[in-house]
Amino acid sequence: MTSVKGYNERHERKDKYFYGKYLYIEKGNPFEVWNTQILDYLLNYSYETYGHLPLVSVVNWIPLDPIEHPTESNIEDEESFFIGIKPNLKKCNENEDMEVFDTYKIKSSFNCFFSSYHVYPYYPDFMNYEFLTEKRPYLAYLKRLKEHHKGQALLIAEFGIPTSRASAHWQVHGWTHGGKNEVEQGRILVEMIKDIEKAKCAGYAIFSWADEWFKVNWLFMKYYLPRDRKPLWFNLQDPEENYGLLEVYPGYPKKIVSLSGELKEWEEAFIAYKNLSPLNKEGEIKSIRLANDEGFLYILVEVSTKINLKETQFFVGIDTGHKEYGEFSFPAGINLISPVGLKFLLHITGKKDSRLLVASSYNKMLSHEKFFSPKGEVFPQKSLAGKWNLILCKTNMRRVTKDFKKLFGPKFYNLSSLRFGSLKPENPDFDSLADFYVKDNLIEIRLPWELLNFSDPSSRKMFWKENDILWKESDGIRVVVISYKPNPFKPPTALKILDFRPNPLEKDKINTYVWEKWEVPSFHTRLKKSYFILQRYLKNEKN
Amino acid sequence: MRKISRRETLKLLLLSSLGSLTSNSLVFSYEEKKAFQEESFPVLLYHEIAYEPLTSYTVTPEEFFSQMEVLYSSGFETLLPQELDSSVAKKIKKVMLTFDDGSYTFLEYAYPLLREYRFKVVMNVIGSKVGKGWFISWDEYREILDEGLLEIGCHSYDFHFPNWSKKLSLKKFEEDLLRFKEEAFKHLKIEITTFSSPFGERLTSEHVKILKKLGFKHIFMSEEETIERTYYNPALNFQFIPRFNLNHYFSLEDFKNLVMKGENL
Repeated sequence: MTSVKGYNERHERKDKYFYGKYLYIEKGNPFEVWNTQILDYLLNYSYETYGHLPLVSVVNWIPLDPIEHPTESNIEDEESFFIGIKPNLKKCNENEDMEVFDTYKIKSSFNCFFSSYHVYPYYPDFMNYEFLTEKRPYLAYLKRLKEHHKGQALLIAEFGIPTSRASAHWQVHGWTHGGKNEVEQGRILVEMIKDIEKAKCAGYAIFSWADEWFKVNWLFMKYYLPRDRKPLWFNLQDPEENYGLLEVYPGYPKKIVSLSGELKEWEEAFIAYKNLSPLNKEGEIKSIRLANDEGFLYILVEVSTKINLKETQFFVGIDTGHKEYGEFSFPAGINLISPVGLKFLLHITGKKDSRLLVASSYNKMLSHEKFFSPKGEVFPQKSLAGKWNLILCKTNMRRVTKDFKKLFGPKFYNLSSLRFGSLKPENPDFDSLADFYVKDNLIEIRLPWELLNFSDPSSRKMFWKENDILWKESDGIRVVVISYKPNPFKPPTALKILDFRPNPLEKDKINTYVWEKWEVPSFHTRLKKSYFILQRYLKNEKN
Repeated sequence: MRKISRRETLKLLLLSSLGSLTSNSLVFSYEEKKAFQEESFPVLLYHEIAYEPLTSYTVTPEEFFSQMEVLYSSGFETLLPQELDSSVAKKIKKVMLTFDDGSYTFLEYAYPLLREYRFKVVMNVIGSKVGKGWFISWDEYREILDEGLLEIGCHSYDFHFPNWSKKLSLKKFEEDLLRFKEEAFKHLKIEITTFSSPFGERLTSEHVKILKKLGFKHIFMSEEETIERTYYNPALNFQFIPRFNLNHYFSLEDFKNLVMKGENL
């Protein structure tokens, strides 16, 4: 939009006219006229060279749409308003509504032009705030857009819903920018298609066919260091990587761990601990194993007896590198001191309330800019105080309407919440966003590298913002596991510790997992369930 | 719970006014201590959650996140003033969370976290500042009220300044509170029944009479600096709720001692 604005201003925003051989435009702004000229040239060339007159369009997107958006004010004016400086209400260059590229003005007596837009339900913010009371906000916007393009074919050239672990934008209807598994993706896509059809659009193209590892989202991009190695690894957290109907998943020819309770998948895994003479006591830890692929760290906790999370719960502490740094104390009344500095702590308490905590000083999401003074440093500082945090990311900033009369609060997403499920599609507990699975005496855990603050797992770089540095190479991963009996009267506190490993809790008793770096990633593909949901819908529609 | 006699009540009142309770089996019987233990709990007061400026009214986001995790993982549940009468309130290990002023930092750092823990919170609002600059607007309060975790209290409409009780007549005091109630009802369609005295200024009996007349059931107290530890016992004094003012001078260890001691009296 800035480029469009810049172009129009360089040409003094004068209304122009262009009458080409196939296309013409009257009273167009300089950018609109330029596009018409280019398309007319394209049509000319095609006909003269190939004898063919194709349909042409230019892909537009909704921040440039020709509709006024009263909820979308200028960011600089918003910030002035918030600090008490009266804004200039006559200024009209709003950031997501700052420019107009009105393709309705492009006419063709040969009917070879159509308008097309990328329309996602969650961005910009006006897609929410102008339709808060609508039952179908996406449809409401499409109708307004189509009304403006009356009589002209309107294609929705791009729309989609990612199957990422994190959501990067809130949406009033729940059609968020991520945070949806593949079944939810399929269902929402079907609803969006229904809206596109109801709005009488000419057609649509779903984004996208396949997941893409090189793409980056605004929430995570500054932590990908170095950035040019991003294509070598997969981030399930990142919405931009996860739009596909075709899953592109690490490992070949299949997943190394499918979260299905199959111990044989762990036979080649690194053994962090193994109890050679288990006594089969409740909560007794039999083995701890680690594995990885291009997207995840996997942890197995094998217990001697069948696990009932109402009776036995677990802490799994993770030291992602540099053991002298991090949090050494545990919460919930666990009076033990970790032998190594923990950066993360899994708290497995049940299917619905299990979570991942981060050592407070390493909570990079608290240092996110855009508000007051962010934390200068983000690295795991030594602590015995038990400073553990939930990880929340901010998805939507505070906004104010153009007339500064109505405000909308910021929105956040919880990255700490762990999802229970299996990655096997035929398993009734299947959930493509599953973080952990418990079956019989096994707990299997899958954690995205980025969630563990790795900037580039392919070269073992962990995010580490201290003085002038932004990353450090990890010397390996160490894990501490505690099982305990929960206090039924004061959940989630511990009544009694059942077992802990290593035992005793000493540094030299812990094995370090140092994974192989890689230069060429391995991956395999699988059609997501959303593909089949869409297939069934489109088949039924046709019939 | 067995009924406490007048003599026992006076003993407990004496001890609570001294602040921190020490285990003193010569003064209290086991039953008396147990009764107090079950009923007393800490009420916490926050203002700004921010990295800057660091003042007596600021807690950093890291500290706040760590404190709330301590409460959750230690088995605390939160309650609102309107829930004090409920039978559930007597059974749980409890804490009351309150904020004063209505700073936007509440929406940025506090409320998003509190809703993940399903922690309830009271926000005592300065009516005249609502929606101005970095104060939360009525729109934003409305957005989150439906989630059932927030109670709005009155922190004056427009007498949030030092020594207000000496500068403001009783008539103006009443008019100001009425104006706040009207504004809150107009924007949020709720009745306000909680009051927090600006700058923790002591109220006279006339002030209390007016508050009662206008339907305020609970009055939050606070000191500018925490001098004495005072835990709230609704069985002894339902209307006046003392609070601990949290700021960044509190370490996490201080915080744990504060909240746990309320349980382990």
